[in-house]
Amino acid sequence: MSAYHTQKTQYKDKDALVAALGDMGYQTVECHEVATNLYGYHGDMRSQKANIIVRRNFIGNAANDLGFVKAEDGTYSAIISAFDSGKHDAEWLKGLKRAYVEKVDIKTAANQGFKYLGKKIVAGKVQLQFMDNRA
Amino acid sequence: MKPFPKTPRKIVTITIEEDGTQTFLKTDAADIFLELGEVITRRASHVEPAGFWLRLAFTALRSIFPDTGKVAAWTRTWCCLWRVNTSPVGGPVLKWFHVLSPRTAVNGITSCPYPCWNQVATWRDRQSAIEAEVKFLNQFFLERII
Repeated sequence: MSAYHTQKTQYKDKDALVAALGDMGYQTVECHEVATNLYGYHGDMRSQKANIIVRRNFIGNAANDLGFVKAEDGTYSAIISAFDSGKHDAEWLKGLKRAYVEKVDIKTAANQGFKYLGKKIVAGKVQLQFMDNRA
Repeated sequence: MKPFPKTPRKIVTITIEEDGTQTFLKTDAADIFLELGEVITRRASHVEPAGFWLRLAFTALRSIFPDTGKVAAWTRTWCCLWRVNTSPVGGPVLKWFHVLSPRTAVNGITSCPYPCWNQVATWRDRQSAIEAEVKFLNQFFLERII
């Protein structure tokens, strides 16, 4: 008899989130300990603040900043303007979450002394395999 | 008391769904991934006696006594043929083609070059049944269409 876990992963790891944003095409990402204002496509400062920010000039023409704000429980949530929700839509967010989960799993495993054995991809799903090398 | 006994294994396989949800079998080693988000734990399968009457007795005992108790531990030592039932995840009772060719079997595409491949797979050694179960389930999680 086996049991299995299903897990809805939350964004908690800053480095993995930045790396995942890199995978999604955003190589230049700002990280702030104290949340900083986002800017709109006119260069106007918005009242919304975020800790992890992709500035609008790295997103595209007439885009607003993309941000992730850190909550008190340590989780990050995305701030996406309505204008940019066409580009950063549900599918894009799923891709980001997949990239994040993969990176955070590999990082967590490495920190715990696991060996990463590799991955396979089938129809949009990713399967990672690790060997527990702990004594 | 934990709701399920763990499957002792050194390899951890994690399946990441398209929406970023991840699925993995409950093992001691896999515990390191539990901190990454909200977790729901469910039964994946049963390794149960292949014979009908013994399976009936097994099911009755396991429905009365907890999975982590002495009676459950005793039922796991029974000297009998064992089979793998993956119905808790919507899967089949494993047949030989699931074991010998799991990639084609997961989504119901069966290739049975020999008639015996279509028979329910059984093992004398319960651990071997568990190993086949783990291999099948990981393939199942990867290839199933939700």
